[in-house]
Amino acid sequence: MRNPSHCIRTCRYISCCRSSWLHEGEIGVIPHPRQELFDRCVLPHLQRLFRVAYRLTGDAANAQDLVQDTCVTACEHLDALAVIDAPQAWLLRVMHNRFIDGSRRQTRGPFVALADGQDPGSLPCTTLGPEESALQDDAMQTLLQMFQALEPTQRVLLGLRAEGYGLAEIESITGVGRDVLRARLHRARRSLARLLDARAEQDIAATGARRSGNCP
Amino acid sequence: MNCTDISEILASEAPSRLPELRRTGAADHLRSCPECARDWQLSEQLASALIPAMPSTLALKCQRLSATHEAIRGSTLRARLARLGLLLAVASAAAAGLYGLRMLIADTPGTESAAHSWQLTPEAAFPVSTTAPDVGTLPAPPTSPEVPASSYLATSKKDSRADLFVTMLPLRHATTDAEAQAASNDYYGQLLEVMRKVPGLVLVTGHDIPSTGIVDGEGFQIYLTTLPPYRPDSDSPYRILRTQLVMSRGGTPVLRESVASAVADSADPMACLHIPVCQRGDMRFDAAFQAQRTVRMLMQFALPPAESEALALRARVLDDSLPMDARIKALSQFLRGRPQARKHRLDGQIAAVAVDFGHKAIYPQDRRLIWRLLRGSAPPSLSRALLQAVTSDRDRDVRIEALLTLNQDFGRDVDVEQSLAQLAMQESDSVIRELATQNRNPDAWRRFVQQTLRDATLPDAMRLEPLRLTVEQPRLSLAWLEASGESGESAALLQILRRIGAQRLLQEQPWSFNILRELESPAATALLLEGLDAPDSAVRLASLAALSGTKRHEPTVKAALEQVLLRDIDREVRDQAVTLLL
Repeated sequence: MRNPSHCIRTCRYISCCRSSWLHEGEIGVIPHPRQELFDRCVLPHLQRLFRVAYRLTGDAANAQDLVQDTCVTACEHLDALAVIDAPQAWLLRVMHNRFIDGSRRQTRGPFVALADGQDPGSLPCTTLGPEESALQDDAMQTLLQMFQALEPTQRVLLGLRAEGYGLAEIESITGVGRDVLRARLHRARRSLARLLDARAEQDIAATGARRSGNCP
Repeated sequence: MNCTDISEILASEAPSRLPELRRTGAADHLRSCPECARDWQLSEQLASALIPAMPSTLALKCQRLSATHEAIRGSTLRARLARLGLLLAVASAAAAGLYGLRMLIADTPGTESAAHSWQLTPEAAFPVSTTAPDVGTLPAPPTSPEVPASSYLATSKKDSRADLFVTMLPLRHATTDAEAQAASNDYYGQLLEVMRKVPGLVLVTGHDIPSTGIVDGEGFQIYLTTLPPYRPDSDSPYRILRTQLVMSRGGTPVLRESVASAVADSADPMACLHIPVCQRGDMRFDAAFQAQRTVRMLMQFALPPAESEALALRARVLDDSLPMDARIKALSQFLRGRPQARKHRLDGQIAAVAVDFGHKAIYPQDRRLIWRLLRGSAPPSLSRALLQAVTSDRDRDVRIEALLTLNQDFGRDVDVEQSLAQLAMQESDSVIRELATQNRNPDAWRRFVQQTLRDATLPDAMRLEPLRLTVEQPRLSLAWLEASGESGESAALLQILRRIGAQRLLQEQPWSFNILRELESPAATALLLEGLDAPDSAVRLASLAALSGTKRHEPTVKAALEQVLLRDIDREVRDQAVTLLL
């Protein structure tokens, strides 16, 4: 049997290792000493990371990207991560920073990712079509849509709170003091409420216009 | 209970799990305070929102990231240790005397062997199928191929008629052979889709296209090729493309110029741009950023304007009331893109205005731009205007630019040939004289380039000029590269370039990076390595781009790239180094 660490270092073609290490048809990971550390420190928190990432990004594909990005940073600090008391908070903090950085970058130049199976023809259109408008009647859809319209920092706070994290935990993740957090959480909820109200007014105005025949 | 209490509950407690007493108190307050009631409701709704289950493949993907990271880290550490070992060995040897020194050097692994230890390959990190996909089974245009799973299409939100989609195959990595195979085929499908969306242009290729072939489309051809490994000794058509075009590796001035000229000047219907999208998971965001930047660059320099934009630009070009420089700018935008794509836009009215600008523009660089813009698509009626510019323009560079266009577009026109022959007899400027006879006597031009390059009495810029003019003509550049080694021209060229130095080279002779990239000479590599230490990051990026061909496999280059990776302060430079190392 081959030595696993030997494989990752010296084998140019993974196919030669497949027969002995991987299940048939699967391209897997060849274990190495630090892989176990990674598995122990990071993998147990993956589910929670994904949930938070999904809340922040509102999209499964982007959430996966964000989680993987967090994992890359975790790889760089595996030794430190192994001795930290609350690795989940540490990982969430990294994710938070990555998310904020990514949002800033996206603001500078928007980049659209296609979800699996999505028609590229629908990409450029930023206005809602009739089907999409009908879907928006659902209150939850509207809420989530407006949630994504919040500023990234507000999304982080409300998202973490919705995931059940208390002020102390959010403080350790975001590095913001509790009093400030309280105020920001309040403001974030107010912003969300305002966005929802504005959306409701738009919908009412659009319905009125249709009834009066001003809109084809 | 008051608003502060409610706010505190919403901030740090779970509203659904409050004790009965507090819940009753909260409910009483919420009935009397609509604002708190709204906050409460929003919090509950958000908490109850459905979150999809984590994809089963995510854990495996993360483990792969970890494995890749460890492999890189291990290699870097080994390289460091090897160098440390070398230093210790040398120190011990000095103490032990000459005999001991000899023995130790013989036994100690040096930096070269450390560099060789870099065994990580994309296959090892993220293996994909190495079986060539069956291009013949792809749906032929105009049938739209299905949009694949596991892929990104990038576009700009700003332009709803995006001209270019950049495909990046392996951002979500395949987990099985079958998936990898399907992804490869999907990639070809996406290329077809790209070609349908962008008339006249563009081949977008990635690292992992595992075969070479040509797919016939409707009015276009797609040339598909395996980019690495590039074998300079092969007769692959890619060699031709490669000498004409520069692999884009970022927004350096060299790159911008190269992309613009490659796309604008190439008469090759298969002209391609290579957009190297990094395929490693830990570089995902950078890959997206890089692709986005490339799209922007292409939009700016290469792609023809969309129809509505073209109409607006045309109106500006023909608008007499606008200042000339604004009209020239609009003309350059209007005529951007490859020759085939812009030919139909160059109607009689526009051609007349272009000629007018070519003769009357105040600044020489504007007149040069006009004659350059027309290259590759100049209508027959323009030959007279070009001849006039060649014979009577007061600026030498403008004359040369017009002459290059004349040579390329009207080289077989008998009248033009006679006029140029007459010009060659009367002309005092040797470069213009030789250029005028270039089509009739290419060997004479070759000799002229050789002689000028070797003429040590001339200033460097003058010695390099004929070569620059050669390299700027795609049909001549390949021939020069093939013959340069034997004729000793490359040695003379490298001597001049080394004297100029890598730092100044980018400002003074940016085209030389393209040549350095192709020249297989230790001196060329050394000069580019010198560029990696330049204080200007644009120079470092240009040097990296030029090292990205076969040179990156050389041990000294690998060692230098590792140093860049460890020490360079510019993240973009480090990212490029990682891409080359992998």
